[in-house]
Amino acid sequence: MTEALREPTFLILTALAEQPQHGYGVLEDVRRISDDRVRLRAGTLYAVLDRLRTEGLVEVDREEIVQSRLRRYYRITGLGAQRLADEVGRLRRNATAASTRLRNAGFVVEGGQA
Amino acid sequence: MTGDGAGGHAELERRYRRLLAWYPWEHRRAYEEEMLGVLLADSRPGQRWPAPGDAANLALTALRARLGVAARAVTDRSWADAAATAGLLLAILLCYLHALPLVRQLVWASAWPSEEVPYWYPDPALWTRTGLWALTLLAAVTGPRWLPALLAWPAVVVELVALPTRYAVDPVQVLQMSAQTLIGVICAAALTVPAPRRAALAVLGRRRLLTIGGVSALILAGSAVQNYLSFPGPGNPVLLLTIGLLLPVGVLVVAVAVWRVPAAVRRRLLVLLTPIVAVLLTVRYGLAGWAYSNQQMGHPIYLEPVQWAALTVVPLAALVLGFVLLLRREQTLRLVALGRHADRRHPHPDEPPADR
Repeated sequence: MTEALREPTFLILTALAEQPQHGYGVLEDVRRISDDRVRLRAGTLYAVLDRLRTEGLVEVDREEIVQSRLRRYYRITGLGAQRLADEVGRLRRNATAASTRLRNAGFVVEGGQA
Repeated sequence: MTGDGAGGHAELERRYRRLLAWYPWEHRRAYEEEMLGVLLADSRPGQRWPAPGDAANLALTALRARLGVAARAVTDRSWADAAATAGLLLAILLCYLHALPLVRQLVWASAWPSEEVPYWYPDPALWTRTGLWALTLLAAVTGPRWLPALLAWPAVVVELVALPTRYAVDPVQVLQMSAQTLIGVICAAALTVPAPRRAALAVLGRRRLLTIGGVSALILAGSAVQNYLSFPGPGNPVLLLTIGLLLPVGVLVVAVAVWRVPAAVRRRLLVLLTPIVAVLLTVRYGLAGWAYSNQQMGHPIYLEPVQWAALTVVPLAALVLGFVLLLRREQTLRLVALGRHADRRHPHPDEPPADR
């Protein structure tokens, strides 16, 4: 059984799921996805990207030089997409179980689908 | 994004570069320019100093990256091979060091049964340790991989248990034996490192191992003969000189045999042996005055806390220093190899590439 993804890893994979992005693009996208709740810092972003590359979940799509500075685009791999899909399924099952039990207990779940 | 002119931008960039320098070179080589771009893109207009959160985050992730590199460095195959080889070689050395007094006593007692043996005394702990180290050596060569450590640690414990009593009576002798005690600890620790079965045998090879073992046995036998010939009066000086030469020649043969193991293993062996050398030098030079005072006084003088601290810190510092120097050396070798590879691919970098 695979280990649950940590939130920064989950959000970075989510940011890359639709299209390749460069580092700053991922940073901004993670903020958007999490409604500004998660603000990744560069150190954390590249620690996670390095690990994901080592594990084969993410790879370099292309490199550009913008204003004499390297800009590298990352894309999710097939393995990464599968890992993200597995995690989405796990979270969905947990969320469904939690909302079902809350509903059964008579609680009204605000903002959820219970 | 910052927009306070080139001066402020350059200043912020310089400061971020200083923070990024904390990362290991492997990480910097892959990500430094990119991270710098992200950090500058994420900065506020007019910002001259790294944000405290970013600085703390970079320091923490750099430290984790360095720990990761160090962990990968000590878990690679070369370390496992070096640890197994060090364990085997040190087990041979410990067998020699423990067997030496026993052999001398036995020779003396058998050759001169009517004489009072000056240093003969029944020492069950010495026999136990010798037996345990001999079994450790045997297990390291032929046994399953978990057995040598299982035998080595009890031998270390038997040695350590006897230390307080001996220290109370003769602290100088305990200090002089401290290198041997440390050899036992390093040997046991090295044999505990997970390694493939008979890794040391694979590194050393049967012939080299037989040479080292044979030379050690020869030196031991020579010492016994020398002991026999030296009593009651001076023996044949030529014969004694020949036997006396056995030790330096044997040490040289063993050193050459060990030196010819693969370079990566040899470098790691040297790192593992640095604490032993450090302890020998500390006792020989750092505590020579204390040992001399002990000999002059009629009662034991014990070590001061600062001397204990030196005895503990110096070998640890030597090990860390050795490890750092090893990482730097191997980093240099990698860069040289990369440079050679680039030279081979582009032998004339100033010339434009030929059209295909």
